[in-house]
Amino acid sequence: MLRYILRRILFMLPVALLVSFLTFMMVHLIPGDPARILLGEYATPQTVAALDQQLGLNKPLPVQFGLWLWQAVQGNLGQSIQLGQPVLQAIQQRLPVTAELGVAALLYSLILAIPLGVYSATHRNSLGDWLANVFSLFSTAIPNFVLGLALIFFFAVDLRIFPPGGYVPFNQDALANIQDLILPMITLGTAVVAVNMRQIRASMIEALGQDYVQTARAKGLSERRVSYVHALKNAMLPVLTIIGLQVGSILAGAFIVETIFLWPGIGQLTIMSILSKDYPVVQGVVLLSAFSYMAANLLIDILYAAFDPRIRLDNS
Amino acid sequence: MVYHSISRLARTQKVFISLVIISITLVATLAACGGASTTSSTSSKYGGNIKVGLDADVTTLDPLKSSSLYDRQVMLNIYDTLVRLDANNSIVPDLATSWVYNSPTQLVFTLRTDVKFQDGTPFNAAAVVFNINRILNTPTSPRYSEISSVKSAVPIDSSHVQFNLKRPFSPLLAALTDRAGMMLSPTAVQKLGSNLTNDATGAGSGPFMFKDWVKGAHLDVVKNPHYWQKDAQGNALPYLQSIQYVPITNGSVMYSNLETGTIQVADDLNPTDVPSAKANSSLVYKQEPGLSFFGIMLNTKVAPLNNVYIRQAIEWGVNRSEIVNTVLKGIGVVAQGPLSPASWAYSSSFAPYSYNISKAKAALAQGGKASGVSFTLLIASGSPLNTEEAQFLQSELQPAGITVNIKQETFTALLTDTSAFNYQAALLGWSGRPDPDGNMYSWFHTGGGFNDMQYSNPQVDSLLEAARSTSVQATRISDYQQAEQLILQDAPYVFLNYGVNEQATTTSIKNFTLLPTGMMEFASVYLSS
Repeated sequence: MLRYILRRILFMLPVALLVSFLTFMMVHLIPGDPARILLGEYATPQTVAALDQQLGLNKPLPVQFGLWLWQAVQGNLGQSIQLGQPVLQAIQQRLPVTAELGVAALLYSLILAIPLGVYSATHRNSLGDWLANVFSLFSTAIPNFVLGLALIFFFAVDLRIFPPGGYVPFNQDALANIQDLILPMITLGTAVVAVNMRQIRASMIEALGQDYVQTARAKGLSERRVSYVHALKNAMLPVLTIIGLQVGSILAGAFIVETIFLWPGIGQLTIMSILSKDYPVVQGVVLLSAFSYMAANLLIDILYAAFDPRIRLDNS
Repeated sequence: MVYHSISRLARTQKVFISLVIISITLVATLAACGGASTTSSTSSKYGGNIKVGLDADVTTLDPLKSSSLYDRQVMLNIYDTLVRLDANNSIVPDLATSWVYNSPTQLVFTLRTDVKFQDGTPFNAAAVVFNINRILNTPTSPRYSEISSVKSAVPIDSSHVQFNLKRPFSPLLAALTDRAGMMLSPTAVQKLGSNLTNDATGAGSGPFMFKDWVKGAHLDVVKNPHYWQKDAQGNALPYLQSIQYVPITNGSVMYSNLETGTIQVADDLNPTDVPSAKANSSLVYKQEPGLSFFGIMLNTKVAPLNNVYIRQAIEWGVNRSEIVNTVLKGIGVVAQGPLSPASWAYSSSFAPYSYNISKAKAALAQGGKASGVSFTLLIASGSPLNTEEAQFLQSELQPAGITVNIKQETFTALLTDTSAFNYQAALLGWSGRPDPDGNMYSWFHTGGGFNDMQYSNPQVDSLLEAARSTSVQATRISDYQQAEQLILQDAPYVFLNYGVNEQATTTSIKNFTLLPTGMMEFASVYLSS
């Protein structure tokens, strides 16, 4: 197991390098000059050139990438062109906000998906199953920015139940924080509910058809115990894989959701940075996102082994 | 037995699902019940914390480096200027109580003696000289060109300062109502250094003091308890306790926040939200012509637009009132030249072009292009309004034999192409300046900083230079109006509409003044309960 983990950690490095390089090239392909964006639309060419030189933006691209990489391996992700602060500091300030939203969305999705998936699996072809499938199709199909705006207009503007946006840290005002969390959590988590629900349903149907389930029933165990203790435990294994993949989609979804709901997280920071061609921030966020994604999937693989003793991660 | 077990299982699942739904509802209800108000006000004018929505985040708090409209919105509430503009676009005293030209190149200001900066540093002639020299010593600053006519600023005594000019330059006073005239504490500037970009603690003398800025999230200012200005009854200003500026880039989100009272002031509204705002009894919506103009830049050195008749054909082929009514939903004023109704040099009788397809065709024929002509129109991407307007122009000009090919680019790419003259036509406007010189010289003088049309007319150059050199307003008006006529004759730019300044606030906001510059000043604003 330890050898496997170390191998996976080492493998992260070339992946991170490739991701950084591809991001660097893509961001630089976007037309526009960050110095001009910073200085404003009516800056003189001389002023723009002076700032380009000051920020090192006039150097050849391979040199810029090399300098960035050299600093990155030393833990320095550079300075934000727009914010005028270290990229790592900017990300650290905003990471808790995105983490709160992401974790809440994931938990919300599981709290809904597990009972819905189990119900749907044990009541196949019933009205409830059909409704659950309709819900899953709807929530997968609807773009999250449409859902977010619809929730704002209905719950915030019409019903005045929740605020339309904004963020108050939990330690400043817990109740306001929860209020602010509800709509973005539902917006971000809804598409994920659908995926999890369908996966749980499929896995449960397979698990409920296994011999050990028949044996459990024959032993006189209650259906609740059979479903939630025996069948669900095995049905959750594929779901774990899905959750690992969802870290990426939740992070991606957070970009739009944070912008709509005015949450000052990593997503909003990245959107702002892309629009202003703040290369260091974009690269820093992508690099950390890649590492987070790989770490989450490694954790999932380890949990796999914990759930199923038959699984061996190394070749022993 | 199995059937019985499944029924029990079904009941159990139903109970579980019900519990989940009840829990969620409970949390939601608890959360809703605890709704904290973001505003507060007392029965008097004093007190009150408001939130202001801006279309984009502030980029800097240092006037020396600022190029964004949104920076001005915040800075004008932190810093005072030597002179300021009133609601009629007239220049009135601020930190300077009066001024006099001793000669065409010597301007002397008399300063207030009762003002201290927020860090306790006294405001005096030395502080003025410090701020002006800061600009003159930074040629790369956008402020430099705004006061490039100033050779030096010298203190006469602590309450008088003399500006020595290189040449007579009457637009200087207007420039000093904006960032070039913002006075910062020399002590704070030296202490903060380059961090002034992000932190203006103690730097201003204005009604509000900088408190905090989380970029992309909010910028907070609080009341300056030692602000020098008083209201008409001699009471201290400002009334408000604090202002939080919140960048909201999405227009629908901006409006929903205003509707719910989460913000009390919105920078501006989407045209599609304006009817709803007008019909909403809890909102106040007003608009007045602003100083900005919007239209089509035509590259006069690139075929086919290097032909004046082709450019005039475009002028005749555009239905400006239809654009304002249909595309802009009435949020705009038809434009005929660079001087809007908000400008003191505006002439309401000046309307050289009207929508006339026959005249457009005749102009094409005169230009030797009776069979038709085509060109590419660059527009900035990301703006549905720009796209709609461009498509409207495309369909309007087609009957005249003018084919418009629309090409979208990012805004920065568009600016790069226009400044490199690598374009035929571009849809681009100008935010406008209170002095007519700010709307004309850089745009239409040969070699002007914004003259990407490569337009050159020696007569226009002479008129614009003459208008700068005299301080007699009647003479300046005559010069600008003559220049305007010539510019429209040569048609390097097709003026479509003037912008409007909007007040979009909740009814709890009182004493809000709509300024021609579109700036939101909160010194006299109060919040009613």
